[in-house]
Amino acid sequence: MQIRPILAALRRHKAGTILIALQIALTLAIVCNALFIVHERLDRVNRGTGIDESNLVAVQNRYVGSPDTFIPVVKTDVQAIRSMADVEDAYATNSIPLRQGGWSRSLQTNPDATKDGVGSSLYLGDEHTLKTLGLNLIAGRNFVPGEVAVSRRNDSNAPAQIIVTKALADKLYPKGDALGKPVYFSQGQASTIIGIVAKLTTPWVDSEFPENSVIMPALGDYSSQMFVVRTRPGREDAVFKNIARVLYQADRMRVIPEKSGVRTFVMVRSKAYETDRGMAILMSVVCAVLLAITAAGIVGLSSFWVGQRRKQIGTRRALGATRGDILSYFMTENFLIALGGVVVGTVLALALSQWMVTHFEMKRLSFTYVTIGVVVLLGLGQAAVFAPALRASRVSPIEATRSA
Amino acid sequence: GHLYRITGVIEDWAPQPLFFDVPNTGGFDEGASVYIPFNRAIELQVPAVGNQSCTGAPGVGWEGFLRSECIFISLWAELPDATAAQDYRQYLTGYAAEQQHAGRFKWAPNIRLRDVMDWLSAQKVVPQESQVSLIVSLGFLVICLVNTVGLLLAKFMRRAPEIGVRRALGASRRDIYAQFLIEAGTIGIAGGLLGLVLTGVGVLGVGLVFSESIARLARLDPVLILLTLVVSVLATVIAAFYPTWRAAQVQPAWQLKSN
Repeated sequence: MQIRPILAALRRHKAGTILIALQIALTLAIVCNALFIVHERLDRVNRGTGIDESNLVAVQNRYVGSPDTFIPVVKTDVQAIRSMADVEDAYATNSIPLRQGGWSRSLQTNPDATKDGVGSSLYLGDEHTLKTLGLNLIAGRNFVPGEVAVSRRNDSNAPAQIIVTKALADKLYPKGDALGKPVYFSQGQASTIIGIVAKLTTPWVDSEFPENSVIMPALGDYSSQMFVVRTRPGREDAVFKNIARVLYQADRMRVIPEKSGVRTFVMVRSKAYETDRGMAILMSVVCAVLLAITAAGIVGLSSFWVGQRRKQIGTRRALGATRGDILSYFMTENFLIALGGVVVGTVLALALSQWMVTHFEMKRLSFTYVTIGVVVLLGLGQAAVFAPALRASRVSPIEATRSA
Repeated sequence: GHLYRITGVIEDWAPQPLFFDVPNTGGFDEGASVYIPFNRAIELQVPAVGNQSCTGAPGVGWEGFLRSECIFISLWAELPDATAAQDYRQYLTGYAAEQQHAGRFKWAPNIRLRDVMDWLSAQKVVPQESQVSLIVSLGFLVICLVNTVGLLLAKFMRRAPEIGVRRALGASRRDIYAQFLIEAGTIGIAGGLLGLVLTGVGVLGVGLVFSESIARLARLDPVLILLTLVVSVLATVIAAFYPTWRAAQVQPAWQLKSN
């Protein structure tokens, strides 16, 4: 192909060349990074929690009044929920994964440790927790009813038995022999690991220790309770609609918020990841619109060029060039310009990515995305120039002789 | 429960961001409805609702909790000027050193005294999503500007013969500049009006992308409308500089030749 004549001709149209190349470069830089952000966010949204998320309803409940202890009403409520026809199992707790609020502790493996402990989230539970959440117990045993104690505000009693996640067990006892070993909360009393579950994530979407969780057998003596309910298969909707009514009928001295008091786990997950989803949507829309704008720009500018060069095209045709020659001339010309554009664009994309890494703690753009972006933009350029190039090829040789 | 007497009513006050309680609200929330004196709350043993971080086990009961190393209070001080702030920081450092020597904790004084802006910055109150969106928007604008330069170039240069005739009839280069810059400005206004419709759609859709507490802040008010139009006209006119210059360079003689 006659590349050198094409380049020589382009030198006389520097403005148009630079504009198209610059536009392709900038679009590549933004589109690559935007798509990368979409991928990152979707990865986050798809992270599992370790629990069986279907047929799960959570109720946020706050008791009104100041009795000496809330434990009797909590027990009554949990019993009432468990005896609902559509409910398989239920328990009361402080928090669940993706609730975006909960408790955390720093754990040690020996009582006199001076170094930093291992961070972990802390969930209250009882012998029904494993079944309600659908957790996978891979070692040891579940709690027995006698082990379920009471947790009070500013309590200094550490739980005697705990169940931990595999990730936490491996962090505390790297040799893999965590079962039966002691763990020390800051109170200095030993808690024995009686069971290990495969996975249970923390309540927070962003956490320094996302897989470290401890379940302690206790009822919280607090006005604020979260009731977690496993419904019979397919009965999630019925429980979702009825559970507040059942609880209010049992005892009116409570507040369950209207809008977010009762949620299925699907709703909990949706709320926890709403910013990630929103960001993914925004970046996708931006990409689509940018590509459309660049395509439109290339079509516009190329049409103009073709119009400017009618006489030259006519002359070439008169001298024997076929329609195909003219078409491939313009397609090649556009390809060369786009090639220049993607080279500059790649540098810009990587520079932008580097800047975002330092300022926003994001991960660096992978080359896959740059490659995809390059292919997309080269293809887009070719598709955009096709119609103007086709029109150019239709210029009749008689243009060579016309005087204007 | 306790009975409280309402002693005063203030106007709704919810500065966005809620600088005085960023850790518990994320910074963008509806604001408090009821304020009670701090010392009274302590007297009544009102349990702290919100972040609570204990570096060691608190003692038993309320007294134990108050004397513990649990952090559940945010402290603000109003200081008249920078020197006073310096002095205050020194005072706090001295106090921390004293407590260290008394054996209360083992680390050297690590005092931070931040004004509101520094505090908001340290708390990262602006969500990352907003900042990334801003950058992407600016990049978008630049790309559209480049696009506009190209299209305006095509649009103006297509009329080279007409420009040639005008110049031959006595129009100066300044006249050509004026003509095309005004034309660009008009395009800018037309585009801006269309852009307003899209901005309206965007404001409606912002709730889909950002969390409610942030989405609430985006409203179509007169300032936003004016800003949209001004940016549109300005961007188009700036994009038109190069094409206008090219148009003004058109040589009348070349255009008037019949070839």
